[in-house]
Amino acid sequence: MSSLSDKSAQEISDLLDEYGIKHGPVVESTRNLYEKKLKEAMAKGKRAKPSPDKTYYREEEEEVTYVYRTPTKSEASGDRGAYPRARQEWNERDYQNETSYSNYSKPKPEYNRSSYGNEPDMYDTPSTYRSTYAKSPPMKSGQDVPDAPKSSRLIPLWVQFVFFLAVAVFLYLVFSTMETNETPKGIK
Amino acid sequence: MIRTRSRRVGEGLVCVCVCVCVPAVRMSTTSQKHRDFVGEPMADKPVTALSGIGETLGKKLEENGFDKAYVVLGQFLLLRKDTEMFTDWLKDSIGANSRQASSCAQCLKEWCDAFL
Repeated sequence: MSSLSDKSAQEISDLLDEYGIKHGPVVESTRNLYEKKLKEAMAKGKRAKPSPDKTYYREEEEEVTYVYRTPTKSEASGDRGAYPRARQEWNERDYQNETSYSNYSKPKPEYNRSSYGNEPDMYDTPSTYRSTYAKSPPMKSGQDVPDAPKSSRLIPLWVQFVFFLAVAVFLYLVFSTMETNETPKGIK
Repeated sequence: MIRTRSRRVGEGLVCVCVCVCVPAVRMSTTSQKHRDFVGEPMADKPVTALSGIGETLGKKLEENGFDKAYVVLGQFLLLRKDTEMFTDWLKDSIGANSRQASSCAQCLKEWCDAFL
């Protein structure tokens, strides 16, 4: 990744949009700040990425091909006479099963097209599911945490509480040391 | 239950304490400097007129080319009046602490709400 200071203002602006950082114009005085923000966002791990074009599910395609192949299976089993043909079809079925079970094997060109647009190196469907699911809770918790402590107070909250407690204790002492004059003589 | 004088005095004391303490603790107090700045157009006021900006920070701002309050206002506006961004910028550029930076940001925000 080339250094941020080499990028043009427009590129910085685009990067800020990608990470969902609201920003103004990228000019001389604001550039440093935005570069810093981008570095922080990148260090946190890429939360926002450019949206993928298309996502295809492998399982769907495999199911379709499996359904398509079943008639040939019954056909092959019925046909005993044509030995080479049955053999060929059995080989085809075997190959089909192989590709449907082994998701990690080298893909055929048609399967290559159906792989995910944004993460081409991940063929395993369950693991991508898990990874996208794992992303959302940290995102949400990440958003909650910065909001809570950033309340700008002139007097810190704990100081306020301590002061309040001190006042409450003082009042209790005042009440407890007061004597109720029940004698009929009273104060005269 | 006979309400004696001493008890009445105690209750009065409680009321006074509550009336004084609760508002002071609960309300966020603005400084005189803040109120002075937000109360009128800034014209050619120096940067030290901004709430949270004292002599030291004022000098640092001037070194960076921000010699008048309206120039700092310009920076605030460039950052789209986002107090958080502006606070970060102040901390980064002149080494202000959180209290000073947020005080200045709040001051400018209120000025903008009133006059911009």
